[in-house]
Amino acid sequence: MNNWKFDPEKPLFRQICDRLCDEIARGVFPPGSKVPSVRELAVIAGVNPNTVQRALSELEDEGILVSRRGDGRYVADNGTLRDNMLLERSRTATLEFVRAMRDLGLDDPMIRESLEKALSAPSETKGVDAASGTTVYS
Amino acid sequence: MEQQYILECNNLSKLYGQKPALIDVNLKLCLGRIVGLLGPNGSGKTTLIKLANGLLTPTSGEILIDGMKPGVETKKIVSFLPDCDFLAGWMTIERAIEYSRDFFSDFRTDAAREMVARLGLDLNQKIRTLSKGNREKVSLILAMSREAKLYLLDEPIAGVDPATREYILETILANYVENSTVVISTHLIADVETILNDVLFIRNGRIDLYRSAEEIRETEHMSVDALFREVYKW
Repeated sequence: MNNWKFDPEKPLFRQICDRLCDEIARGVFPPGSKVPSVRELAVIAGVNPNTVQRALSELEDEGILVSRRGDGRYVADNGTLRDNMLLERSRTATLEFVRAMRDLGLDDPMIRESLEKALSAPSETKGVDAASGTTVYS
Repeated sequence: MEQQYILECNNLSKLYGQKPALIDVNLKLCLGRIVGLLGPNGSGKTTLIKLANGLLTPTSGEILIDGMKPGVETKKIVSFLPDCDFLAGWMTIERAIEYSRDFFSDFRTDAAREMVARLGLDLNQKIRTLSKGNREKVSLILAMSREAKLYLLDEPIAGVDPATREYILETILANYVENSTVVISTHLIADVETILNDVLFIRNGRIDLYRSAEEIRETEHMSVDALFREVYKW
């Protein structure tokens, strides 16, 4: 049941925010959809309810979630929200990739070449992506 | 007006003969927290929990539950899970549930039955025939089925396999009533730290640290487990 993994050396509320943003970006929670309650998330993630509360309030302050009185929290019904999140997340992932490659001592043409190779290979990475896009809460 | 704490210790000491088990403990716990009472074996965890239940009396100082000395009134608001096997082997699970219901007016009978059913256990099964892990689960279910103000869980995850541990922590979270306080004593810190608000480090009968778990991660960039190891380097 508990498929959430945390880095115990970093504040958990940030990691919960990141995870939820990931799931919004991947379409697990589309714009306008309801997100699980504090109690549900606490049990799913195995985390203190106050910590979950803090994460959800944070996302509310950022305009990513909206709370409806007496009816829980929803993903903001904002057409560009998901695109923006995808953009931001992919930019971060790309920068991390480039940094890792440069750390290995590769120059730009080598990075490009290796990226081209990876893209044209019939890799499993696509399958992994599709699979992780279907996080199910049960 | 002075604030009422759910658990308050003032200069609390307990000696077993000449041997000190708790030394001058000062502590104030508020409602609405899940608190980890973390310390090695023999550090005073069980002594503190037994004092809070009135199973032991202080040698000096005082311990108060919701402003009261431990006694009949405090037992109504405290749900206690001892660290030893306390269920009678001859009882069926159903009988143990009814027994708890007869003792405690805040006991949620239906919730208890439902949790037992979800475990796949038969209500008519005798306690004696349960595995150690299942006995621990049933004990925890009985403790968490109460709507208490204070839950004192003494070593609820010791000696059970990782899957049972996860089940136990999930059950605590799922039944945690807002505005109650749960104290979990354990030496298995890494397993519980994500569900805690606050941590209490105890060793040799003294409380050395009382802090928020998120604050430890935020300011020390360390897990509670790592901080514990650093504070208590032998």
